[in-house]
Amino acid sequence: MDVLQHFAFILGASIPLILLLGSVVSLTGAPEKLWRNAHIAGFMALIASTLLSALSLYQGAAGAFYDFVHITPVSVIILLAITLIAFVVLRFSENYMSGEPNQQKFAGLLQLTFAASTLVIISNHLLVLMAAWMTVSLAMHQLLLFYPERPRAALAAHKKFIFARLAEVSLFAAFILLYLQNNSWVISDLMAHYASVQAPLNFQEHMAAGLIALAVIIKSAQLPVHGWLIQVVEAPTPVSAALHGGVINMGGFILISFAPLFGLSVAAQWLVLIVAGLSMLIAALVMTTRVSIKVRLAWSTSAQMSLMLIECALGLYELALLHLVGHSFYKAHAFLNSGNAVNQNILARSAIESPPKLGDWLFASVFGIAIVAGIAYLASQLIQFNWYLSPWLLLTCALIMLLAQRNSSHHSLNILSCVMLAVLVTGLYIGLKSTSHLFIGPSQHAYSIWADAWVSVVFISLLVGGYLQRYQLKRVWVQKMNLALFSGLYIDEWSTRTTLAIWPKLLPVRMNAKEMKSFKKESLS
Amino acid sequence: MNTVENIAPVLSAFQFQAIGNACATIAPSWPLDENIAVNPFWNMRHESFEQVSAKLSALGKIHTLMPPSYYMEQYQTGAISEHHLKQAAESLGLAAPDKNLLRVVKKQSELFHWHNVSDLLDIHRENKVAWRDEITHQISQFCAAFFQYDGPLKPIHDQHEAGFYQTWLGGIQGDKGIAILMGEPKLNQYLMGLPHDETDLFAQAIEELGIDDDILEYYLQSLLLDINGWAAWVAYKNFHDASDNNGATLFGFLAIRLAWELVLWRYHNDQALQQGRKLRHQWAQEKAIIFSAVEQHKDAHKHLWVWQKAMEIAYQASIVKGLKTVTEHDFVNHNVDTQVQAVFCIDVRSEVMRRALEQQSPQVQTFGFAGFFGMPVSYSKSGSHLARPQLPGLIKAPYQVEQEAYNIDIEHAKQAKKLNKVARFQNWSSQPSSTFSMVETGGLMYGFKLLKNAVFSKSTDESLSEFSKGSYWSLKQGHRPLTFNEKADLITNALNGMGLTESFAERVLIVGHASQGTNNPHQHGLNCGACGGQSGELNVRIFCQLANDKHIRAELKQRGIEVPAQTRFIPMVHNTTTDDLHVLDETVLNDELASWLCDAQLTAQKERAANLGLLKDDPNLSDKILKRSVDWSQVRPEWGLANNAAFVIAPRSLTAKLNLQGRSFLHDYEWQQDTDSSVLSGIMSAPMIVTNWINMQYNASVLDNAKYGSGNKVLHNVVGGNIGVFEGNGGDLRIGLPKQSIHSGEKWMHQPLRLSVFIAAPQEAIEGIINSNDDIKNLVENDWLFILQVDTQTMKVQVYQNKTWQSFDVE
Repeated sequence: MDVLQHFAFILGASIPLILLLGSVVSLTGAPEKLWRNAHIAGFMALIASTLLSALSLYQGAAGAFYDFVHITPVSVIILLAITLIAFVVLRFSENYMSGEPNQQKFAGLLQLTFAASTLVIISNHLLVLMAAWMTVSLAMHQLLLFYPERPRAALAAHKKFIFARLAEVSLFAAFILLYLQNNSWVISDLMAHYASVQAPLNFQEHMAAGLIALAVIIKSAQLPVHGWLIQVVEAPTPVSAALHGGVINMGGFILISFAPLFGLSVAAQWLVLIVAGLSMLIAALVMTTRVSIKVRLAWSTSAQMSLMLIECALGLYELALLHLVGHSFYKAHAFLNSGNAVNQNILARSAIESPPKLGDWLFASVFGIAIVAGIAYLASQLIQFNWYLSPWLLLTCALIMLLAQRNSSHHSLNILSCVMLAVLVTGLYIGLKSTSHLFIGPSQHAYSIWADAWVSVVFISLLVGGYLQRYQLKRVWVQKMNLALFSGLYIDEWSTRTTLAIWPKLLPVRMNAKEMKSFKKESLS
Repeated sequence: MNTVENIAPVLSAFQFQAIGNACATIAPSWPLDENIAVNPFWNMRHESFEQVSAKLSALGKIHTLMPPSYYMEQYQTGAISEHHLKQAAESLGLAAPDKNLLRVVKKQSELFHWHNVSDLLDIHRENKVAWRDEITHQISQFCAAFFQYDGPLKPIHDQHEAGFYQTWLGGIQGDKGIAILMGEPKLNQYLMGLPHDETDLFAQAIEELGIDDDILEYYLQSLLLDINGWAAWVAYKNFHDASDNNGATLFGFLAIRLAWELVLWRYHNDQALQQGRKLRHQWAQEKAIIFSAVEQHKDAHKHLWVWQKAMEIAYQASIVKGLKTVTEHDFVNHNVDTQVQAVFCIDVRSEVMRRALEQQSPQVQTFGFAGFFGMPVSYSKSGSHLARPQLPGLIKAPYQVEQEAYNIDIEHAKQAKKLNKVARFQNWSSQPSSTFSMVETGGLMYGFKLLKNAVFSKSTDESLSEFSKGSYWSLKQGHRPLTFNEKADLITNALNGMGLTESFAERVLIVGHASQGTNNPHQHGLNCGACGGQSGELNVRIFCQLANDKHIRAELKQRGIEVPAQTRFIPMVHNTTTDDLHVLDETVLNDELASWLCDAQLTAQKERAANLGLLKDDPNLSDKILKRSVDWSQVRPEWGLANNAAFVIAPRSLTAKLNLQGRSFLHDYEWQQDTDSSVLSGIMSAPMIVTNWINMQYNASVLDNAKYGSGNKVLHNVVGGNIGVFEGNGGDLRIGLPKQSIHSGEKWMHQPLRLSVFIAAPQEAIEGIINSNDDIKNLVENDWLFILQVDTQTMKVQVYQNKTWQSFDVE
């Protein structure tokens, strides 16, 4: 190994250490320097990951492998994203949380969460990964209970606690199976083995792949265990930004890391495809019926995670990586900026949409399909593509919306500029997808027409469902469908009740409760 | 299920009245984009504050006084003295104050509080979700979906024209979720049994729950208090006219809450026999005690009211002491050479700035007037139909204003295009079929946005001006342009109201105000309340356009107001976050005036620096203030109207020498020129009410932030786009001020004092107005505010109490 590789290793390993040190200093140091220290930690971590990226580019994105820690092209990108979000969230928190009690605990736990998240990204040892993942979850749990007196926060954290342990047990079992099978804890060795293996997986290996997929599904807040993600908007906004912009994306990273194994297990892929497919459809449609900004954003995260998992299951890891990073930034920004919801509402009411007419839809469909097909064909002359139809279909659906919805009550956007925009979006999509592909190894996945078809059905249903919700609400059956979506299909109600039945929890007394002492002391917790 | 009644119960006239009375206790709450301060007790002003306080405390455990420890602290720091306590006790008819506050604490802790049926059932639900929370959540989600402009329930309601209650009923009868969540599988059957008509619902519930006439109003009020935030929203929807309320009335809203009580009552009586028996027993007990409970609360609070009043007397005494230093000499107009006159809004934030500006030169004279400057208009943004009111919330805008220019159609089209572009992109980003591709193609862009907002937040001080310098405006009523005379009337009335009818200076600055900030759902609450929670920019522009018009000036001359030809009215905006004063039109100020304004800004900034956590002598003070005003993470951009405590209706010369510390609203008034008291009557029936609303909103938000304040900003979650906020995931709609707007994290930044209104006018005139206007009479006689009369000859202050004038003695 040359000097640069050692240097990359040191930079990579320094990121969780810097943040961990920051966390310890925050928890134990002088309160008046609390935020200055936290900003230094955030800034240094960001600098380290920026240097690491520069180095990786220079080195041609080669990985440095060690027994406990490894730096891969994918991890470099994700480290950069996480440290950027950590830096921004820490800076945001200083003024935002000013005047709140327990700020030391807040800053300390936030840095600990980010430290453990970055350790997940660079760990090359199954047990290190496991420990880091659990630390993320436990630190996040404390942050979600930052206001322990709030009953709904307690309920949500309680649910998350149970699901998270379930996911960890599942992941741990998978790791044990992998170890017993291969007699190694080192991830890079294991994956190198599966990347080159010719024989099909045995039952234990299928089990391991399935359990990893299950753990990822649970951690990514897929239906029916999504409720906690929705309800944890009971925690301060920066916690939501860290959760939705950082922590939750970890599931996708695990699937990308274990791609060589996952790619060989069709059963595990189908588990993800079915759960995430249904989740994506339901969560995206439920999202539009939500009445508050943060809850809407939370449902959106659940759906976005679904798509990322689907892309992994199809073997389109370059899209999953792109999605992971794009979503991190988008959602962290959306939460931190959620105080501007009123301005967005004023804007929306200033230019209320006039529904597209049949001609608009026809035009949009024809051009949407033509643009995607045309540009994809041209690009395929230059770049090697993985020929799944469904992702192009999703892009086409988006372009159809873009081209059809041009009119407000006062103005119609110029058709030509909309077409140009659609071309631009498609070009950007292909460009980003190809760039992302540079960081990803060759995929093990075999093309499955059934998988492609199933995912296409999900995407088309989204288009149709969204259309009905928006333009056909005068029909009684659509109203019924919308009401059912408004109620979240009662999935979370079942899940909450079952949780409380299996593992009862004394909820804190509600705020400003009226005195009950004429009958009974009101000391429930 | 209960046996179906052979003879269906019918509501008596008395019961109807009681329902109406209960609904009438709820004050409205405005949406976030027109956020103005409201006195949450406004609809109970016909009762004494003490009575209302005891009732709210008994029915909803709502605090309308500070905790005893707070008063004790005020005593220890010397803010309240022995003398004040004695004075307060005397005025409240008590022999002596009770200084043993521990006794009060003990008494308070022993009080009985009313419970609704749902509260009683929650005692047994330790490991399950509480009924009270779930009912609040259910009604809250329903209301949001119903009222959101593009909410999921809107089309259903629009199409079937079902009433509010019926829409709710249709939804809840199809909802299996609650039965699942609460673990009560047979609940649905009982929901199906609810009557379709809300009148029947009231009749059945009152009959079955056994509510006697004498406690009916209490019971219904306590139900409304349970979900007070949405009740206030429904009250808002019915405030100006009922055309915009989607058929929602408080009658229907109350029916929804009562329906839950009836369902739970029936369900537990039938399904859980053991629990049902217990419930009936407890319920009977509740009903028996409530009447005497209100009296007990009154008694327990009696001595705290003395402490509260002592604190108020202490504040009044500080003002009275200041007034004693004012002499006859101060009233004589010394400078015949007034160069600049500046008219500010009555807002307490103007007081600091006015003092700062007057300090610059004796040639500066300032006035106080309601910040919409008498221009009662609404305005639709260029290129859009969305109208916003630019006047006090109490009034419905009679006039509309439009921008005029030779190329105005092009301008509108340009704006419409801009709006359409951004709105369509916003739309596209959030739809189920396009949001995914948006994230994959545009998500990375947000990485730069994050970095930009975190490190390089833009700092421009011009952002508060919405319109271009040369903009020109036309006033209309519907499609009819205002006549020349109507326009002249507007200006005549405004100038008369300001008391600015002669000795005009060469420059008359008309200064509206607005707040600068970002990422703050309550931003509009920091803007000008007199302009309906908007910037005052538009109003000062219109005022100046009219007042600078040659023809209108000619007409004014006819009417006895002679404005010299060289006098120019200059529209300006006072940025209350940065204390910047910004000229809106093309006027170029001479160097002297420009430097006065600049120095006044710095003086005002220095005065406010400490409360913003900055150092007074920091050489970069202005930059730092500007920076924090555009910081997206700043939850305390400015302190707004915190600590307001007084309203002075008098010539400025009375207060010019005093430092009122930004705690006082100031309205100019000269009684000598108001022979028929009509101007004073106007001030007391409009601006004084507004100041009472502001004062009581701040007080109530401090006294009980959980009920009348909107809680913690770090948990805020905007509901329905502009309706209001939730604190966290759900719960009731939160009204009033966030905790961060009144508390620094270490201490309260607002001392809850009822407004002291100092009026420089003859006693007979004041008394006459009190007795001729019911709203004012109620506010004064039921102790919602204090009226103090200042005799400008003797500088003696008399307080109006128990319908008589008593001299205010300073120790």
